This record gives sequence, structure tokens and C-alpha cells, in this order.
Amino acid sequence: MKTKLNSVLLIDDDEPTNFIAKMIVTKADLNENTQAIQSGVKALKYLQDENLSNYDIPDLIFLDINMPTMNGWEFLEEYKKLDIHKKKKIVLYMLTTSMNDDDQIRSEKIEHVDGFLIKPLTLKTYTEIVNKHFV
Amino acid sequence: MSEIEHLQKELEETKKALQDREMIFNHIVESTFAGFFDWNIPENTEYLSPTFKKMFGYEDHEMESSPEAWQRIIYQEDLPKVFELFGAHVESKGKIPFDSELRYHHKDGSLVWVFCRGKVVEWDEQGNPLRMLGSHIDITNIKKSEETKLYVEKLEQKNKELQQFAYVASHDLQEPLRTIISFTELMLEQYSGNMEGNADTYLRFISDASNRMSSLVKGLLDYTRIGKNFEVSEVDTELVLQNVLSDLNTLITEKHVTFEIDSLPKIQGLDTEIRSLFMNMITNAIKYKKKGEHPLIKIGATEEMNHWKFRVEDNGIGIEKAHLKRIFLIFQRLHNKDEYAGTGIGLAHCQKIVELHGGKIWVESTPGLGSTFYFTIPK
Repeated sequence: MKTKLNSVLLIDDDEPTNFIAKMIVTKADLNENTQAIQSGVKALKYLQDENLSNYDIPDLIFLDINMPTMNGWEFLEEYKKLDIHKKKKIVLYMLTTSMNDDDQIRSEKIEHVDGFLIKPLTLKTYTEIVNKHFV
Repeated sequence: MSEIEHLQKELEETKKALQDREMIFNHIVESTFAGFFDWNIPENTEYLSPTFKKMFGYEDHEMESSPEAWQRIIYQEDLPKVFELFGAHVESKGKIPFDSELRYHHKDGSLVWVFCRGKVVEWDEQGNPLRMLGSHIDITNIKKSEETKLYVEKLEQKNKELQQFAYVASHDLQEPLRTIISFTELMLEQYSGNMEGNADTYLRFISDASNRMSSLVKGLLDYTRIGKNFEVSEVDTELVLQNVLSDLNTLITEKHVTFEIDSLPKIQGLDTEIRSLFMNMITNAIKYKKKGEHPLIKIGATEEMNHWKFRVEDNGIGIEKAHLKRIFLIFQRLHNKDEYAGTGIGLAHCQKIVELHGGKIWVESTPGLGSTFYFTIPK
């Protein structure tokens, strides 16, 4: 069976969160490979790498808002300047721990953000997202 | 001298004495800043002194001298009170004093509080009042400070409630947390290595997270507690520092920390809070040391005009310029929990303590070389 998407990238400083998200993504079995990076700075470095093939550029990113050093908002400031957007359309969802209307409203104004979710990521939500954006 | 000349001379002298008296009287009345009124009751005419009018923002010529003039600018709710009081004063033949606190509208729209005191000084044979004299004193500032006092009391009450809330919340939160931590530890003790699949990893995650939460709850409680005790006393900062170092002895030996400490002053402050301040700053200096290097911490104080400026200098990993202010925000951290443990409350705690003393706290740093934290305590 052909998978719907190739690469999923999880950006979250919290190891257990990445663990569970990765477990869900694997269980859904809709992608080829999953990557977890624990900081916004490291994630940017990864995405800027020239050696990153088109194939490996993530199709779907889950981005945590509350991270030390560089939070989700600050990551997006740099993320939108990246060249990879010319090569591929990346679907990006922001993740937050608590319901904060201000955060949701703020996320709607940012170009590369496709949606906003409250943690934890569930199998149901993940499947819906993949089905919505990837045929 | 003839009798007429004699009388004329007396008249001149009396006139002069009267003028003199009047000058003294006016001087006294005006210099006390009291407004003065003189009410002719049967004719209902009234003299209002310049200071009386000035109190409400009017120059002498801007406001007429009449009962209508002040009745127009009095705070309307207070007008009935004036008439009631006058009635009582007259009926009691002056026994009930015509004393009251009244509000008037100032020309600029603000409200002026006055203490009004009056007395009927002339009565006719039937016992009707003929003339009333009185004065106004501006008590707006006194009233304002009364309001401020009430506000302060309210704030103190709110603060007490907050403390109680934080105390109860932290206790009630700690209890189920304790249960999670204890039973996770039990599972790790009894079943570690004997469970299938990822069970060990799951338990490790649970244990780490619940311990971290416990630290956060404790930290939050400490943070709300700052300033609960307002007993300012003389604090020997050198002694406080020695106590802190003594408490941290195990850590200091373990991490091979060396100190260079200048003589430190005695200050006016809160003993426990200053202790907490040093504890936090030194713990940070040790925690954020460079890998493979022994921490060297220099502590000193310089005397400046209105305050003491303390510094805590380390040779640790340093802080980027962009983050110098951010680190004082509560829960703000610059590193992942796996790199350096911490709640992100420490420096917010320090800032609260320093500001409680009326001082400021800030940091200068060179990434890779170290940081120097400065804080001031007013003398």
C-alpha cells in the first residue's frame, strides 16, 4: 500500500511528548519516516541543511509553542524565510498545552500555519489531518 | 485742647487702631489659607473671602459674594446636609456646632473636600439668628489619603487571600503528586527490568515529570510567599552568605567550586528573602558551569550614593545578549530539562525579592566566558 506522505517532523522540547506523538504516527502507518527534534534552533538547522533532499523535506510538521530558548512563535519567524518552501508545500500544525484563545487567533494570522491543536496529539486527530491534506 | 478736638483725636486713634486690627485680622485669616464667610441672615447677603473662592479655583472677581454663589458650586448631595445642620444649630441656640465635611466642585471639575465650621454670633431679641461667621479648611488631601488607606487595606486583604490560596493549592496538589511519585518508585523498585516492552521507559517518563511538577509547585508556593514577612531589620549580608555557603557545602565540594568574596555590607532588609536571593544566585552560578571546568564565583559589593550594588560573577556558560532580560520572567528557561534541570522560577524569585527591597537586578554576560549578575539594595 502506498503511504500518503513521506516524512513527519515533530518539534517539541519534551521527550515524553515526542515519544507518544511518534507512537501515534507509527501506529497510524500513513507515512514512511518520523523525526523528532527537541529544539527550534536544531529544527531550523535541520531544515536549512543543503544536503536535505526533496524527498526528506518533511511533508507535515507538528510544532510545540512552549519551548525554552526559541519558542514556537520565534521558530516561525525564521521558518518562513527558509528556501525549502519553494521546493515543497509543508503542512504545519501548532500544538499547545492549554486552551488559550489568544494563541489560536495569533496562529491564524501566520501564513505557514495550517492549524492549531491542543495536546496530546491523538490517533483520531492525526488521521483526520493526514486525510485532509494528503490524498 | 477743647473737648471737640479731644474727641477728634480719640476718633483718629480709634480709627487707626481699628484699621490696624482689621489688617491683622485679614492677614491672619488669609495666611491660614482658611476660607472665611460672613452671612447676614435676615437680608441673605454673604461675604465670601478671596481665599474662600480661591479654594474652589475662582479669583475674587470671578465669583460673586452671595449665598447663591456657593450653593451653586456645592456638591448637590451635600446641600440638604447644610440646611439640616443650620436648623439644628439655630434650634439649639448654638449648642449643636455647625461643623461638617462638605464637597464642592472646583472650577477645573475636580472635587474639593472642605471642613466647614460656622457659628451664629448675633441673635435678635426674639432669638432669631442675625449673623453667622464661619470658615472653610481644605481637607481634600486628608480625604485622599483616607481613600488610599482603605485601598491599601483592601490590597493587603487580597494578598492574604492569595497566600492562603497558594498554600492550600500547593498542599492539595502535592498530595496526589506524592502518590504518583511513591507508587512509580515502588514499581521501579519491584518490577524494573521484569516488564515487557516500553514499560521501563514509561515509568521513567512518569517519574521525571511528576518530580518536576513537584518542584514547580514548591517553587510557585515559595514565589507567592516572598514578602509575606515584612519585618525589616539589619541584615549582615556577609553572615547570610556564609550561611548559604555552609548549606551548599556538599554541592560545593562535589563540584569543586571556589569563591572570591569581598567584604560585604550590613543592609536594611528582610533576612529570609536575602538569604533566598543569594541561595538562588549561587546555585545558578554552579549549575550553569562549563563542562569540565571548576566553577569560580566572585562576590562583592560597591557603595554608591543611595544604594549598595552587589555582584555575583561566574565563569560559566554565559548568556546570549537576546536573552538577558527574558531569563527574569517566570518559567522562562533557556535550556531543555535534559541539559540543565530547573523550574525557571529562580531568577523571577530573585527579581521579586530585589524589587521588594526597592532595588534593581540585571545581568551582563559573554557567552562562553561567564556572567555577572548585579543587584542593588537601597540604603
